Amino acid sequence: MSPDPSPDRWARVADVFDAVADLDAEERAAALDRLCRQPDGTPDPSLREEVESLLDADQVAATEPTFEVAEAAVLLDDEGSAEGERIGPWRVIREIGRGGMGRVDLVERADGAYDQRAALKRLGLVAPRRIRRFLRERQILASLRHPGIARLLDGGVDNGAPYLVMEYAEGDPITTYADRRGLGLRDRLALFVDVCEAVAYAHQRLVVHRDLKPSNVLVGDPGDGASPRVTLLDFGVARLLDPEIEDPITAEGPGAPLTPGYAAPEQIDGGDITTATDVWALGVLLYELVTGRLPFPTHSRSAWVEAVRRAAPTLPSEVVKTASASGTTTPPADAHRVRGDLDAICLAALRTEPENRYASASELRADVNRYLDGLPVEARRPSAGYRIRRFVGRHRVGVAATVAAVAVAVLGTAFYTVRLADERDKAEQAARQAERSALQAERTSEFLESLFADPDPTGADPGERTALDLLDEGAGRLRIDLAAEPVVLAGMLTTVGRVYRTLGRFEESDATIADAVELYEQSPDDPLGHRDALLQLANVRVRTQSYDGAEQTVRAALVLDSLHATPETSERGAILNTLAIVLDETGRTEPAIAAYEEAIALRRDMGGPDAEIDLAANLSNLADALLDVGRAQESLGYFDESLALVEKNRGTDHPYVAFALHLRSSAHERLGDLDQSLADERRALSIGEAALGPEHPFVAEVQSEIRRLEGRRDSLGP
Amino acid sequence: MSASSGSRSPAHVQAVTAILQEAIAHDLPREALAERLVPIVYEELREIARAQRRRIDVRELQTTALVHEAYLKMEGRSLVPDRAYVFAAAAQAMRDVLVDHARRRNALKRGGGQAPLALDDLHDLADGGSLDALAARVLDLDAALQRLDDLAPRAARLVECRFFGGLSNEEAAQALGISTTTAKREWRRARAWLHRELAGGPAGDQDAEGGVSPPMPDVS
Repeated sequence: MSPDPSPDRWARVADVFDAVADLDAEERAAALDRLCRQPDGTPDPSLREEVESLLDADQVAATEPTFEVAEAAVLLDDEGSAEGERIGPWRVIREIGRGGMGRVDLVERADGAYDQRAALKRLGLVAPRRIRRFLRERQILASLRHPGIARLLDGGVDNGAPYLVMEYAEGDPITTYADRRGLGLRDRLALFVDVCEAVAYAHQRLVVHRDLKPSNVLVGDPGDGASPRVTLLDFGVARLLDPEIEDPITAEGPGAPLTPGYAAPEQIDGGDITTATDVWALGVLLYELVTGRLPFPTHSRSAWVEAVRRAAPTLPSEVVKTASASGTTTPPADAHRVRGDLDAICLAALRTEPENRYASASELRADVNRYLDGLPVEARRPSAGYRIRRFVGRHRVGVAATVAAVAVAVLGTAFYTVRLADERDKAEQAARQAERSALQAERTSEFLESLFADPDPTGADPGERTALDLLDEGAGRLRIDLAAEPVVLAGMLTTVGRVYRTLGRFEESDATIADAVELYEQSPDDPLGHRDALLQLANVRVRTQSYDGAEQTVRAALVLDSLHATPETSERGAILNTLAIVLDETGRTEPAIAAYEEAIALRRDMGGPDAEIDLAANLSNLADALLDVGRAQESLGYFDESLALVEKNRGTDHPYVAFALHLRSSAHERLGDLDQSLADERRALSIGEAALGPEHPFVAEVQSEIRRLEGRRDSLGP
Repeated sequence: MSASSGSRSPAHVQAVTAILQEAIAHDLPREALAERLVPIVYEELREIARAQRRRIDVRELQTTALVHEAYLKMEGRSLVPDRAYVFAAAAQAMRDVLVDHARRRNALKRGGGQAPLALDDLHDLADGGSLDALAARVLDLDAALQRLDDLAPRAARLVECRFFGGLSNEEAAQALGISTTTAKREWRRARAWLHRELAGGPAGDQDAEGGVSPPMPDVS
């Protein structure tokens, strides 16, 4: 046994060894005398001893045959053919694969108790005292039942070696599938969303996959023309093999599976494994699907590990751009569709610190869905300019409500509440209302001032703090400062919740406004404030598609409005619009149409640019609902009116106009007027490109519509 | 290395070529390329094992030849993966497969406390007992190589290429991008070092149970 020297020491030994190895015995002794010395010239006996022992070994080794891999190959022969072998109640049909853990066989039940074929995976040896835990964990994994997860059917121990039996899934690794079919960006993202959904399901049950990578994410075609099916393999299996966790199951397994390219920093460094660990791997997968490359390309493990720890991959859009420019490979997407949102989403999943990533697969999925729907993505939240630009890309939910929310967020809350105060002067309890409103206005301006003026006690550069940071701090302070004035606090919380919604923080928005509603319920002397809070809460829930909750709150708002509002203070139009959206989205189209019609009638009486933009949104929503029930001619009339109002109030080159044209196009198409339909889309495209930029998803969507319509027109002949 | 195809199936060559193209297109890390090569390596090694049981002398290592042939097919294209990278990955894949099998076999027979073997014991492999010894040997070699990797990474790669990849000195030198003289010197030193390490028994392992190799960090 030699002590393990340091690489420096070894280099010194190597130098001396090289210098003397070819000398004869006499010369060698002299050379060793001369060379084996300390830096100060005194003899270095340990160096000499080391070199001499190596020289001895060299002499023996030179006469012996060396290791031959072809001979070691006989190790593989002892398994023989697996066919027909019985493992527990299963019989092997044939071997189907070989992973880091060992063989995977296609099996069937020997007793016919289960008529499907399944995949049996052997996990190596387990210490007998740990078998019970293995069986317990197996139960947890067996409880995962999701169409996107290969189900664990059985697991047991055969001759001391545990095995798992899983649903046999056919398909290709997701990246291979996407490449072979030449899938475009949207199709790739749709598959990715399915993957996230399955992972999110498991995360809800507190099961982390730990080893997500393309070979564990299979995509197959069901064959009947249905959309491709995603199946995740080996969910949670990695945990069974991790010797790092307390009381590991395997006695001496090959270490926690750690797939270079996909493993997260905390897996390399032995940190806590959480749902964020899967988020990292999903981020790698998304990056690979979008760019065709891994985010941390490296040929050596050490360089990869270092790159992962730094977590600063090249922006996906840059990778795509470079690849397109070099012409060597065709990337799956154009750079302009990747730049911005998808860059941000990938990077937000690939942050070194787990707590800075999306917290779970469902958050990541939600953001990819937002991108697909043309909504602002969470990952880009701090950029206010971007937010405003992006709002027109989305459909349906009242444009006007959003505009108002942006106004509140950007211009300041004070204006809004002061305006309310003016209105309330006319109401019955004028004096009290005014007092409270004045107080609220005062608090509002104080609040805004404190948000932007208060030096951060931590000394961080205020420029680094996002609007959201400010809001989080402010909301916390409000609850303390206004604890004695619950109604004023409730009004402020409603406003804060509204701004959260504008920033895309729907969860915080819902929680904050729900708090406000609770305060109003306890102090029932501001029913209209209560109504506003309920309406805002309903609007948030519409955004998060929680229609049950939305319907309950919007109906409560309608009751309060009917009981307490004067014609001047009524928000009936807005309430009906929200209610109509809920009805429409939950399949009750006819009542939805009635509600839209009433909201429109109310708006027509009001007048003014803000009301007309609200009206335009109502008209457009109504037109869309009419189209759904086949009333295309009426639908077109409302679309026309909506478009005219937007043009009147916003000008003909405003993005809202493009949005309205895009919607109207489908009515023309339904009526068989493909030329007019195409004309609308082309005008929408030119306005959209100029106002939103060519990379905007709305523009991409219009372009694809144009291609589709042209195809239809051409196939119909001139 | 001879590129005579003979028993080499065109399907395998094609599979390896596809993997190499994927490696270059996706800029795969060496470990990932090795992982992709494992199924093919496994097939090849098993073929060799079967042939040996039938007393057929197999000296030429099919896998390396396969990779070589696939590599040659790619020459002249604009993007060809780096030689060192490809052959090192192939050698690593072979090491992984062998170690995986050795570990399983060893795990089945644990507690036997086998005596350490010299390298030449590998030549007597007629019965199961020798297979156990061989498994232990492969694991010891693997563990020693890991220690060598800390000390002199290039030497460890060289040994991996020559032992597990079956490359000659010239081929290994070419694969690692060093001169044959340097490779020869490095090889002699590394071989002596390994011999000394392995002659000492399950070296570097204080585990009283003995024979347990440390977890291999580069298993994927």
